[in-house]
Amino acid sequence: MLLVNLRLFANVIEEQALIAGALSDHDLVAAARKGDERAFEALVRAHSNAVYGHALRFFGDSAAAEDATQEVFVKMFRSLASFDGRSALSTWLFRITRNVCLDMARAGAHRPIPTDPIDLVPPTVRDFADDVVMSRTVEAAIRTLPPEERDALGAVTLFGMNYQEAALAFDIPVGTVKSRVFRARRTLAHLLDPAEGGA
Amino acid sequence: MDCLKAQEILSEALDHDVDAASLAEARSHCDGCPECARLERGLDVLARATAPSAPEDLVERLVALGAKEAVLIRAAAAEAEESVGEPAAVIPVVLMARKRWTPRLTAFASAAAVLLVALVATGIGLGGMLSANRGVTDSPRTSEEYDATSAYSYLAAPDAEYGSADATKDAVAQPGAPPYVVLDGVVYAPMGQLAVSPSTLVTATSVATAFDTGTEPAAIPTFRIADETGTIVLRTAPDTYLGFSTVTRQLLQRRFVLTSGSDIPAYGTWPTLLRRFAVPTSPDGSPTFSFFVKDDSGVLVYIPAGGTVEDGFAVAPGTAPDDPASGNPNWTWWEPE
Repeated sequence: MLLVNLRLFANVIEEQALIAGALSDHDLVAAARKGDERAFEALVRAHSNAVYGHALRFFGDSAAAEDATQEVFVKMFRSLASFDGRSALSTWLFRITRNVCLDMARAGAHRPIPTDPIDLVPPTVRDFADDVVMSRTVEAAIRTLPPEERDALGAVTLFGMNYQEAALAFDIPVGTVKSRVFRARRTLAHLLDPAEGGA
Repeated sequence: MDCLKAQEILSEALDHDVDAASLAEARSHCDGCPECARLERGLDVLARATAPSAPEDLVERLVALGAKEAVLIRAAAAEAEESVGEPAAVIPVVLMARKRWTPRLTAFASAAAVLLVALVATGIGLGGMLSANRGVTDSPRTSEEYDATSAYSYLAAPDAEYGSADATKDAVAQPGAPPYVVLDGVVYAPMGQLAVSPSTLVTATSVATAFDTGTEPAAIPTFRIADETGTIVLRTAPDTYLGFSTVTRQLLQRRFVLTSGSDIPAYGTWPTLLRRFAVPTSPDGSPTFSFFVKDDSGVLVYIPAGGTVEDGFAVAPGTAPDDPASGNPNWTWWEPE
């Protein structure tokens, strides 16, 4: 009887943690593997923006980004059993996202829309007064970055990886991640400077 | 502080906590440096910008997909529990399988021993059998080898290891498959008879194989050789060892070995994909694998979702005739050597 009560209590605690979003990614994966649909939902809500953001920056097209995001989550759901927890979930998910985008592009399902810094409309000071316009301008500038810099920046800022995790995801030294992120930001800072853009 | 250092600190401060004194110094540097001040303004814009958000209807679709997946998982778990809860239906099957195999293995042992005697007596031997496939020359037999019936009682020993009907259920026996054996999931191809010093042998286990005798498989004592990776020897008679080596391929200047998710009970059985991977339902490897790279000979290499090639890779059926996976109708998995 005591054992049953303890189990019920543990279940209640787990449920409250899930609702409060207090469970770690690893806990969520464990719960999802048991068929807990709230864990699946929590994983989707925690990571869909990052996946979609990467895909949108890769393809430059929201329809393609949506297709890629859906494909990523289908792969993720079906591969949860193979996630061994040695790396952070975000690292694993980032790799899936990157591979899915590359696969879709190679298969010709969607083609990334090419962008060139020359095509970037220089922002004005007024642009930065409007958050929506500012974010759109920033995204347009990010899409002009070299892919390896854009990916490194996305790994750190969208997927929340630290430099070590990103280095693991790209299989490159930590110093290379740092320099790619730095170079990306320096380029963006120049592109987004209103003074440079002619105010 | 120079400009580069100041800029790096300002950039890193967006990603993680940096030393407060260094950050203050970098900001102070910007006060007197227009170039770095400009970067500081740009970084400020980046920090304030919001990242793209997935459209709400997409998120709802993903949540619905997750719910469906959860239902499938629960259904599978319930089915498994039901099976466990019905011992009358399950356990007898297992026992029957074992009972069925025990006498058969004893019979296989006798048959294999008799076969060995016959082969040895006719001067063919297993080495000779191998030579038909791999050009191996046989060597003369000693008189000890003729006493096979008593010497090969081990042929029946690993009943428990090879007693399950499951052990071979998904092995694909097809004409044309190479003469492989499998040990610990790694596939080996015959090298012919080897002269080995017993002192260099490291006990491994047994390999269940019928070679190409057409009989049922028997457990053959198998050894690794000290300081020699990629080679095993099967003792087919006292002091008679058949060598087998891993089947390998190169990728990115590293060697990878062929594995099999199912037993290979006889020559002519194709290796299968490891059980931890679902067999891809599409030629492009999905949903299990994603295309990774083409190797030097143009073979497409695939890796699992979220995986790296350092952990191994998959190759689709249909490789060229000179490829080590040639002819295999299954996906194959290659692990680092």
